[in-house]
Amino acid sequence: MLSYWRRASLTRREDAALAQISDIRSAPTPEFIESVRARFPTEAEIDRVLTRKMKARAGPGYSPLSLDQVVEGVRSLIVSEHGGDFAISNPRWLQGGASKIQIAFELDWTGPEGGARRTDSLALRMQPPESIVETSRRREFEVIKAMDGVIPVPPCFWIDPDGSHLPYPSILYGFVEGVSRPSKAPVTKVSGVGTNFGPELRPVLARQFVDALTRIHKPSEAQLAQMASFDKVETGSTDAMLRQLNWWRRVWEEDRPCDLPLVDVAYRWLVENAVPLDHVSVVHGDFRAGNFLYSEESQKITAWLDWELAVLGDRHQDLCWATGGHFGHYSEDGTTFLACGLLPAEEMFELYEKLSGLTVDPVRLKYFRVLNDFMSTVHMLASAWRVARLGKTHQDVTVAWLSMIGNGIAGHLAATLEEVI
Amino acid sequence: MVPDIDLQLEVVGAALRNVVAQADQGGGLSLEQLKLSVVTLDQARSLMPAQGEIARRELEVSLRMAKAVQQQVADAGLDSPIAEAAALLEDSKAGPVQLDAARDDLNGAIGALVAGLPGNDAGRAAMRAILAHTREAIDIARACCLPAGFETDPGEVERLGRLRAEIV
Repeated sequence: MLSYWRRASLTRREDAALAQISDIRSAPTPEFIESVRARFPTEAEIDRVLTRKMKARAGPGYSPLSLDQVVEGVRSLIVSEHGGDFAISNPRWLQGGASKIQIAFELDWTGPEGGARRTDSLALRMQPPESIVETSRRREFEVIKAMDGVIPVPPCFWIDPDGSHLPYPSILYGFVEGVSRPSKAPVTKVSGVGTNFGPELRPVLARQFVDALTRIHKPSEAQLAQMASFDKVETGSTDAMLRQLNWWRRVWEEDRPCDLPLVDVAYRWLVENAVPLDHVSVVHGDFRAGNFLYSEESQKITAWLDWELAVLGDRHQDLCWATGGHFGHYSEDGTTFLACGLLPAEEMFELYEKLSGLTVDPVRLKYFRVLNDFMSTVHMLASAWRVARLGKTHQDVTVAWLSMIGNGIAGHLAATLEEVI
Repeated sequence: MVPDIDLQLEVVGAALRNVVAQADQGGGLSLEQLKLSVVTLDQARSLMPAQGEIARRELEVSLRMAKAVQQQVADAGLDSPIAEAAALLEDSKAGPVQLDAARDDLNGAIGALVAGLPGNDAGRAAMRAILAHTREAIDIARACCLPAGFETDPGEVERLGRLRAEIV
């Protein structure tokens, strides 16, 4: 276990010297990229994505794309994957999310199996030159396919994993009707933070929310076999945990604007206290309000979105994420804090145990509280700063605004670590 | 981490140029970015006069952190950045750029020690000192960012509001 952070410490001085060459993180040399890769070994597909990011780092930032350009890329992808018998109509930009470029359109075609003529609504999700979280479209595609039929997910059609057809890596999926927050409520927050569903809808959605969580956390062998871009994980081992830790510690090393000793302390504690996996779950990685759609008429959840942070690992990671302070709010009584604006954390854990038959372990909850705050600190205080600074997204102002959440999360991380060190 | 004012102004410019001005982007995304641009500009304007005070307070915290770590760890190698930071804080003409650079030097030197800290009481005390002073530094940033509305605990909002009033 110790070898992971010892490996990091052995070469840190050397990397620090490299990093002083006029913000090497904005224009990384091959030596810098390789040294960081070597210090923080992670899953093969994650390594591929992060290395690609760093090699393109000094390249151009985001420049406006026309709808026609994007549609042309979509057309090329569909021709390549399906053939030429189709027509695209009504393309339009979509709002939502803080990191991906999205459009919706209608596709007139014969379906994936080649049947009767039909029209489907599709959505394209394309990453910009760099995102607040740099992730794999291939993994996103595989996990959504694997979870189809387990919980509501959008139907996935095709991917362009390397940006061969579209300007950047992309995924094409079926458009799902629904809203992520009450349509009549005023929009005062961004990206699902602090969504208030209201006291009547709250219990209806809460039950579905917890039920979906229990379902993805108990994957079958067949479902796991569909996730070929995910490294294998084993119960009784900490390897998967250490790979994930190294993923985010590597991102901190690649993206940070300055040092923050808190991150070094958190990484050390997380490595030294990694808990062996007791049950293999599909971990969504961003399971919260704002990442599901629901029908305001039927009050049913229609789709779970944003699977890009999914890993194979410990269920407590999602349980902690869903009950994080930054995604909830106080109820009308002013004293009861509602996780994801749905129900108190303790009630969520009780319901989860009842529905899943799996335990909720307070020791693991505390570990993953630290892990999630560590990851969020990296996202917000390192990556968000870096991509906005380099003008890498179509939503730099949103990303820079969201980065301020990182302060509260880092404060929480420090406070939790003070309890355990 | 207090937001970089230059960055904030730059991203607003990029948003207005690359998104709001693109007529075919549709109303939702443009409207959201327009609103964020306006509140970002407001925040930048409110913090601009306090940049020197913010940088000075943050360096003071890092200096206290370094001294606390040095008390626990022999040969920590912090003498030089501590002396430079202390001298800079004595210089009333030192600007935010110099103060921030000294803070980064201190934080970098402290961070480089963490992996090699012993697992005994002294090592744990050093890490606890880092955590306590980090919270102090982060409180400055949280106070500065309070108008963004990300703080949910009413008690914390009140406490950070008092701190903000001292700084801004």
